[in-house]
Amino acid sequence: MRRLIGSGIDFLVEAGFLYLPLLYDPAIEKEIQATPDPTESKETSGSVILNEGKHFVKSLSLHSLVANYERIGKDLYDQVKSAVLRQVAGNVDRGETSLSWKLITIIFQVMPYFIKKNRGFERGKFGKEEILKLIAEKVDVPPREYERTNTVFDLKPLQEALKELEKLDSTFKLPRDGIISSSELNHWLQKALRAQVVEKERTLLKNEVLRREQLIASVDEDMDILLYVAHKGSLEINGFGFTRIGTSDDYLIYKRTGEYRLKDYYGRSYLFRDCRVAVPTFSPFKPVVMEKYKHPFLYAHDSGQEICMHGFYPPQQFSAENAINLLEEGINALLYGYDARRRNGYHSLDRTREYVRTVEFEDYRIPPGEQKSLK
Amino acid sequence: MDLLQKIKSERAQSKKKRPFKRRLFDKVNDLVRTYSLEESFLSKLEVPEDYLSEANIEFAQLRKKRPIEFPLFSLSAEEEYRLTTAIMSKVNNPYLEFAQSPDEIAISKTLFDLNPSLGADTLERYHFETLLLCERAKKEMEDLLQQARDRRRKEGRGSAKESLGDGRTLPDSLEKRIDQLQSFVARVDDLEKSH
Repeated sequence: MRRLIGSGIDFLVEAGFLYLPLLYDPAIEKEIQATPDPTESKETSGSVILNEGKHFVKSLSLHSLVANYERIGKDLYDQVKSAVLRQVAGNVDRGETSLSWKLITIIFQVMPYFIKKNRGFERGKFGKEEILKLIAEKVDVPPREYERTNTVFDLKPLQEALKELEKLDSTFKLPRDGIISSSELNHWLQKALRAQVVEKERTLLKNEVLRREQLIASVDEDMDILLYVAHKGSLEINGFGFTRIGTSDDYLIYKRTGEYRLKDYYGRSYLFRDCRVAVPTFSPFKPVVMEKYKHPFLYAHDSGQEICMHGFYPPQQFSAENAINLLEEGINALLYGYDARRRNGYHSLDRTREYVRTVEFEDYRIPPGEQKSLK
Repeated sequence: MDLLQKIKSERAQSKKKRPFKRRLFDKVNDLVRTYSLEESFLSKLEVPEDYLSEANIEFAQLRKKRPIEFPLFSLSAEEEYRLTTAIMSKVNNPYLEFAQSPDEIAISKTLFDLNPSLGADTLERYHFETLLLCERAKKEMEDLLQQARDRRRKEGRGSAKESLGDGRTLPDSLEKRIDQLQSFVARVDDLEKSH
């Protein structure tokens, strides 16, 4: 589309549709000549129009073009969007470094999945209140007033941004029917995109404010617990935890594997110590082992290594569901992915002659006497 | 062949894949777009041989063509389409299909008029300028040899020289020109044989 806009071609607008100059070859010309009256062709198919001696062919609906431009011309759309957001005083993303939606997602959506109730008949996931109660039990929260500004509980910046957006015009008119140059079309498109961005952002902000108000209402009394966790930046309960990366709003969400055993080609067991399998809240979303660790699926004996997973396509964005899937995939790969017969992965547990070894697992092997007692 | 077999073979024949052939329009249109030709090119077609009439065979380079991949089909803007069809109707000859540049389009008609029986291989391999010079050289050579024969007939009427039948009695300039033309034609022929 960008090439079309910058082409210098004159287009035709008719009834909300963009018509492009008709391209010719002998077959098309024959078809055009076979239609005695161009206006007649317009009536029957509506796809070709004769305007000032030139034929134009129907191409795009201008409404559809604007509605889908985010997908087909992301560069221009992002430019327009950032211009609108700059204009709005309270940027939506501004400030939320300590208690953000990412942290809320981790605490209320990912954490309950991995910390399940397991007491007698009381099985199931934790609700919001129960999670907060559990955190309060496990973590000693000092009694103190926590600052709510720059957190999801601070609605003021959002409300200010919403006010600014309300002032901006979110309507656009279609260009008048007739010939339109590429620069005029470009100008119109930018205006229409701007109106669309304003409308979209307005809806987004309204939903966001509503969501936060609901959250504030539901965690009203225990808000200090959340603010304390956000202030600390890390938490670990029952083998599940997260830790903030630097001062940013990104986290490593992890789950401990506990000790586990793998067998080699000859049936000998190897004991692997506990490690933390983690997924970041930013791209690339691939599971890693946080500690200095070695495993057939890790390239070296090092820390922060990605786990080798054949045929695995990482997701494109952070969500609770994706984080849970990734953690499970990573842990399953370490615990159950190694096939002693195929010796899959970067390394094999037992020594092979053909292979230039870089990582040895001899020191993990359980002596034959102990193997029986471990069974 | 019974009826059933006949029907079967006809069906098989109709289902058979046929190689896709580029149309003349696609080739000429590609040249129009590649060389950004304009309407003024049509006036050049009126006097195609002007710049070649002065060409000196002695220093003429043998120009070979590089293989060009023409598009399978082409769609073009109205102006380009009109120009393409105008060129096709103006330069209406079978050699146009083998032209790979605007120069060749201009020469193709003259070349066809001179020798309409050139093979596709030759037309695909050599630049039309080389082929045109070669044809002209052949024609000029024929004329000169005819001249020489006439001259000998006149000079040697009744004399012993006529019976020699060699060119030693010809003026030097004529002899030199015939040599030049012969060597040029031989160069083209040699190149053709070497392929």
